[in-house]
Amino acid sequence: MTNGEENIRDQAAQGAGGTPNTAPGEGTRPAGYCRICGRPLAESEVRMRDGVIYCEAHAPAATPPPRTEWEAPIDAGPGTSPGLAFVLGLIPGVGAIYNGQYAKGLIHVVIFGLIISILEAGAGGLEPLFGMLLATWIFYMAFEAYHTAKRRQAGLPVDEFSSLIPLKEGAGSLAGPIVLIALGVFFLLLTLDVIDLYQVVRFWPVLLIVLGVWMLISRRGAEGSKGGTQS
Amino acid sequence: MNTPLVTAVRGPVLMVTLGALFAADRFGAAEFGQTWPVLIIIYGVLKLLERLALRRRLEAPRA
Amino acid sequence: MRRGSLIGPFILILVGVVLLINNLKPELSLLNLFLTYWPFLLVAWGALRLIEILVSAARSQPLPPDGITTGEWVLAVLLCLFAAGADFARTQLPKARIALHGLELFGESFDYPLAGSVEAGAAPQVFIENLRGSVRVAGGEGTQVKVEGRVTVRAFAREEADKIHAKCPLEVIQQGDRIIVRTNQERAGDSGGVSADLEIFVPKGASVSVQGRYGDIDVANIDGGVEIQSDNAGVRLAAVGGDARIELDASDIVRVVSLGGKLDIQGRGEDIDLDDIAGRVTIEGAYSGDLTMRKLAQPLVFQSKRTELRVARIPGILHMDLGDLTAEEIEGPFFLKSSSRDVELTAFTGPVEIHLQRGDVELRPAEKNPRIEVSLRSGDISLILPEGSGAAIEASTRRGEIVNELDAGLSVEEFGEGGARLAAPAGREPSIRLDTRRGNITLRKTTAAPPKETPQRLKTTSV
Repeated sequence: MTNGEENIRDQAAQGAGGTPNTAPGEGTRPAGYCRICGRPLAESEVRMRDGVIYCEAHAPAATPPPRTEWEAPIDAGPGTSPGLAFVLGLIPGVGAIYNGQYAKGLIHVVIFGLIISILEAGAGGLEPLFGMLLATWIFYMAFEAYHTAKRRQAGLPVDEFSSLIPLKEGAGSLAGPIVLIALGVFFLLLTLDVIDLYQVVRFWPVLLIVLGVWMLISRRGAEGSKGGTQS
Repeated sequence: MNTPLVTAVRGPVLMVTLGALFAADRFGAAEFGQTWPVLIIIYGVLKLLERLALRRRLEAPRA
Repeated sequence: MRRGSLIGPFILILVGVVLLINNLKPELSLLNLFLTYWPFLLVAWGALRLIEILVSAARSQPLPPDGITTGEWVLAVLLCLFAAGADFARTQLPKARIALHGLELFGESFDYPLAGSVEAGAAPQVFIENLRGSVRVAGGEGTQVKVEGRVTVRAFAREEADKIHAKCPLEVIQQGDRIIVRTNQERAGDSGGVSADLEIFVPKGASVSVQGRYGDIDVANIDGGVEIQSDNAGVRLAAVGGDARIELDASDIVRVVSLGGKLDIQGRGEDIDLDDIAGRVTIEGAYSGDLTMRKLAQPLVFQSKRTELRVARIPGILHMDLGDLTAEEIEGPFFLKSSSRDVELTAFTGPVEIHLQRGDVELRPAEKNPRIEVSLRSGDISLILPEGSGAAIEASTRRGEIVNELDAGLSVEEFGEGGARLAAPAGREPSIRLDTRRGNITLRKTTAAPPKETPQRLKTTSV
């Protein structure tokens, strides 16, 4: 995390030939920080791609070709109605379909089905929790469809997997995949009866703790690369 | 920018895994209801490798 | 421009060809092959695509951004759904007629009558092989084995049906003491066009063995033993004198009434209904419905993935489903170990041992001084003893209370954080131990008031 970013920053500083770690100009606030190397940038050095700030060295090609079919921007039709999107979003998958995001719609349906299955199989005492989860999910789908429709209406590019939860693409943090792997391992241990749900469920606040720690670390890391080194 | 190998093989690897899990279920080795998290794990691993690969690329930017 | 993959369309064509051939020439069991090995199709598809990509990489050609396009995933998902659905219909749906075999839906069914008989003697061993269709065996007077019934063939035209029918004749053969009844359906190529419903009359002294794929099996009125093996069958046995062994991959109900010997049930199913079994009963496997046992003269052993149950005798009735176990008039030793279940035992004798992770337990022993051991991770325990019991009780809960309406002499003390404990009277070895980590323990005595109503469900006889 911090270490890695420092390495990148140093290498970038040496590679790009720019002055490392010094703020541009005396006392001027930088116009932005490069997403990749974190170097503070003057107004003229800022390169914007898709709403993200990069420095000259790390800016991807002007209009990068869509990396996967799933990231191609979805065209906004003339009749995009966020209100309608919200209502349709209450039905699993339909909200995403309205926005043209078919793969996401499928995933929404699958998750909905999973929650219903768990409820039906009797989550033994945890039914209220999963009931609330179901309600939350239904509204998440609706709001997500609403927001995506609004973005499309405004003509902003929207990729297949847009969501309310910020997902960093590209060389973003490793946390995402690691969480995914941990989740997978957890479910596997559960389904293979290695651990028992009842033994483990009482530890759920650990997730909050981990989330907090991770946020701390990533913030400290960001601060460290942004303005911490004022030598 | 050319797609990294890891990204390109993600789909086929997942499909092979899916087929293998269904085969295991069909032939009684392990029920799909128990093995499905493997898919999440493999997707996570591939995604992880992809991000590592992209990082490595950016650290040595192509001319 | 992205170069498309050749594999996706190739798979589609392959599937189409297989299904087409299956329709035109059903005697080759291509569809069956497909339904058995379809996951390997997925694996092959992914592997081939993988090789394509690796080859591109080796040649330093630009790699496609997505290994499998969205369209291809849709095709793959449809394939999985279709194959899994057909698989499911074949093996899991009880009494699924051949109609659900997929695309034969478009054919017609043609019926042919069946008959056959052979001299057998007084106590033959009858082996019946009927892949698809129901089998009813009835014991009676006489020394003949007589088969009646009909064959149903699914095909697009009568000539085809005749051809297929000609391939699977009914055979009723005698080999010494053994009588073999075979419908030979596998000769029709197994892709499921043929099924037969049989009614078989056997001498009363016979013993019967039935093997099938799916179709209900009914055996009644014989003195010998019964052996049944099927992938999917509802089984009914009535008035059978010998031992019975039943192995099923799927079943909606197994009902055995009046069995003279042991009973052994293995595999998977839903409901089990037993009444009047003279020998030991062993049930192993996964059963998702209601289990009802009445009048078991000898021990019952039940074993599933999460539950182990042993009862010495059930003169009364025991009913168990996924969430409850209720029993009335049973004789211990009674042993239950399970993950989650509510238990209610009434009018029981003999030692009782119950270990659960979750569940409420209510016990009303018939004797004054029973030996009982209950340990729960979470759940309430209620013990209702007859008047004047005087049993030595030890009870503890780590989180909950102990309510003592039984004997003012017993003292309940606090135990740890929020718990309570009741120690056995000094010098006496406790014969009743109740322990729960989370829950309340209630001790009561039965009053002169009328006995509690037997719960309705115990009285219902399922039809």
